[in-house]
Amino acid sequence: MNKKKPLNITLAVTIAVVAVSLLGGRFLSSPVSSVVMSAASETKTFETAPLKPDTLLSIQSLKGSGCGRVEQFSATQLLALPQQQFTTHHSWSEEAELFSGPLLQDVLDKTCSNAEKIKLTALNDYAIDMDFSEVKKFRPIIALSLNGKRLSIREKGPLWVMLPLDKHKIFDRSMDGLMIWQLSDITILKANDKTL
Amino acid sequence: MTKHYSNRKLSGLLSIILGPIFILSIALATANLFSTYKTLHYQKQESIWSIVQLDKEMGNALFETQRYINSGLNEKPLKTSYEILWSRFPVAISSLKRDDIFSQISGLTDLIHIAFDHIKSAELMILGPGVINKTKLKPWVRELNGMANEINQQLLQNIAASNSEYSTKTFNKILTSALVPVVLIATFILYLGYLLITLRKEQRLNLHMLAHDTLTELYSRDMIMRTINSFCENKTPFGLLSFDLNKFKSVNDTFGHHAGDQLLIHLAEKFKKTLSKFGMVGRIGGDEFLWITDSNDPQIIRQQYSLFLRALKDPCVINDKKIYLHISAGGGIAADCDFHETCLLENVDQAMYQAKSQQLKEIFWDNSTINQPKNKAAII
Repeated sequence: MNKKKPLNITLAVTIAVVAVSLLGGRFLSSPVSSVVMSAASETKTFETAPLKPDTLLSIQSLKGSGCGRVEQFSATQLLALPQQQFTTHHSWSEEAELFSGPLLQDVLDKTCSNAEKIKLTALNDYAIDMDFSEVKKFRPIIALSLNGKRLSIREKGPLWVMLPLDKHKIFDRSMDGLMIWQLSDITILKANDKTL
Repeated sequence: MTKHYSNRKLSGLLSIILGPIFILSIALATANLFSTYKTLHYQKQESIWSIVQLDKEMGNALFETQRYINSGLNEKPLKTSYEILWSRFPVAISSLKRDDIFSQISGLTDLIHIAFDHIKSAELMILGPGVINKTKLKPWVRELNGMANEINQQLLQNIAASNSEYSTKTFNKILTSALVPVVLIATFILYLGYLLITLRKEQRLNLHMLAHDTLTELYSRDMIMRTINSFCENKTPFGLLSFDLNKFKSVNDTFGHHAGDQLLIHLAEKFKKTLSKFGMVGRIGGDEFLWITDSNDPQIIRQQYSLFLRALKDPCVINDKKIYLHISAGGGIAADCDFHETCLLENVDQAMYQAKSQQLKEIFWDNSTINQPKNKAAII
């Protein structure tokens, strides 16, 4: 009887250790998932309009997306929307920085409320697809200023999509792909028809 | 004694903990290996991504500059592409700095720094007021083109090639991380081997202790009984003799238990020198012994026994006193009891008591052995 006890403890400890290390290994090797982002689609049938000279952001929609309107925003128009402001750490700086600008939701609402899938394009034609119905809850903004100063192209401006990462306790880099900088175009790929 | 005991306790605890510790450290080292590999992989992805983006923007800036030089119409695309290119440099530099391997390959980082300085030097020329000076722009763009080519070349030589600096450094880094789990696993295997050897030694000792009497080192009661049992079951012919030391009690009472023990050891020595060669002798109780003989011929057994009697003439000396030993012996043959264990043991015991009451020096044989010599002969 006496001999059995240490054996039981050893067994229990061994099982616990193996279980913990397996869990740890799984955690370590699980890839950073990014459900909300995918490589940009290749569709190009937009409803376009001639570009005004002071336009910072133009929003088009894909034919059949359920959204017909086209909008162009100048800096003044974007600044006229309710401004959000937050300080957050992010992958492109060692320090936390102060971002301000309108909610992406508010900008989209001006054109097409209930946008579900959007394509974001940068000045250099780099583009991503965003599942906005998933990202909405993080309340991303289109930042115009950084630490109180308007963003230049050189500082990844003039428009930079930013998420309040610190507030949502996102400390990994899973959202980095969404925070597209030098944003110039938004294309609505799909909207919810019901509310239209 | 207590110190020895606590030492044993400590080593017992150690042997319980050591296994899990080994498994845990192997798991951790393996996890570390995987995470090193993954970190390197992510860092590489990011570095290459940023360099490719940089390269793309350099190409774009070169294209816009060339177009401006050729047509001289619109400055705006040139200015925008210049600004975009500028924005790419800090990103590329910081991702190279973060990268464990790229940061060690100095050539590429140096080139990117030089190119960034070159870009910065044209700020006033491109973004400043007034028309961009084409004659100044031409050598600048030629130099930028050379730098872009050099960065490409570096990328091919140091990273993409199979014998590149990058591959060697990555391989070394992963090998170093792999060394720890390999060493740990090897140590663990050695530890298991040591454990196995210790267990085998202990098992052998335990088996020996089970089979032997601790005082006399003759076979134990358990071993003798098991042997008789298996011989009977297999119907292996054998003879059984029971011995009793005469007047052992009085020796014990007059000289003390220690003297009694010495007497038994002395007797056991005589057994080992003679009878043990022809079978197995075991201690059954205090002064009772059993001898399982290989032979089942009373004639041969008698001859072998006489050797023992001769050896027994040698007295046991205790406290300068010579003590002569006398043995009563009763014998039986297994076949006479039809290999029935209890019958044989009872018969042999009775024979031994007969010898004792008659104070016989020779073996007193069980009745059936004497009465049925033909039967016995038939079995032989």
